[in-house]
Amino acid sequence: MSQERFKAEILPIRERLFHIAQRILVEEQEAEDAVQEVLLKLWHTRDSLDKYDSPAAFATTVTKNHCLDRLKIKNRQDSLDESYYTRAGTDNPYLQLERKNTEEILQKIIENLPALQQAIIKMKDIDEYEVEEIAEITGTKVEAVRVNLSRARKKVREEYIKWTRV
Amino acid sequence: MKIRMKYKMTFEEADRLIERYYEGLTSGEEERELQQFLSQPGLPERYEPEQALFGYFNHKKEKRHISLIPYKRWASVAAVVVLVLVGSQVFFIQPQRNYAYVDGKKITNVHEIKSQALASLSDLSSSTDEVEEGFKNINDNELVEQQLNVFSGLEK
Repeated sequence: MSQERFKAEILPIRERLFHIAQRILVEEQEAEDAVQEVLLKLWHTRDSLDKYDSPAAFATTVTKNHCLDRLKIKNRQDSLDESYYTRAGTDNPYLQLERKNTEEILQKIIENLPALQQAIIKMKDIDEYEVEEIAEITGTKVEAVRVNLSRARKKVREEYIKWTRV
Repeated sequence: MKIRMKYKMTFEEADRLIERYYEGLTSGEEERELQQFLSQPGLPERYEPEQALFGYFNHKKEKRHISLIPYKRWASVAAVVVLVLVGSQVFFIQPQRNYAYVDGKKITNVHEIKSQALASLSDLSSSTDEVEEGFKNINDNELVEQQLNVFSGLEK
């Protein structure tokens, strides 16, 4: 699917995708993030979208599944997130990674970012998209992308310093 | 060709760009400039996290660029290699490999050589008996061999 067709066929159903997301996730901000994640996912796989009879219907299904997954992960995280690192004791991931090289540390940090921030920082800093382009793909305001990008970058720096200067 | 002067970014400029980078405000171009600044050795230690981060992203970008070279590009690279190989062959090959000396004169035309060879063969006696008789004559034998050598030289 070409960029033009993606913009013409997928972006117009953004509103519908958002409603599906909100029905599952309830919180507006979460639903918004989820929709952006789905749109970025679809954008990266747009070449294979043509094989579906209705790319729009496929997008709806992806959104539904994505939100259900998110809900599952969220429930799991609520129960162990905070205590995870401290409970692990001396053999915790921080200490394990301390010995490994910078690249692996950064890789891990980025992988642990919230999905949307992760997608955006990769698109900007590796795939070399401009913020404006990402905003267009996700059907959001430039400012919203910028905020997520900024959060992601600051978080990576903060975590990197924490992991390397124990 | 224009020689490009290497532009040196000051620490103040770099600090300002880094600040903007963390706010998500830098363009791709500005980030490339920053990357250049951060890749130089001997920077103050405070740049270490950014050096690590930009180094990491740069490495990822390079990997991506390699994997992105499309099939067509590889095909054109292959085509160039083939052209160079074939071209060098053509260039280094001697223009004429087949030649014969007839009466001390060098002949390079294949057909002429063949007809000369056949003519000299027909000078010899052609009936089997005569040929056999000829073999007895060591001089004729040598002559035939000489002539045949000329002929087989052509086939190579």
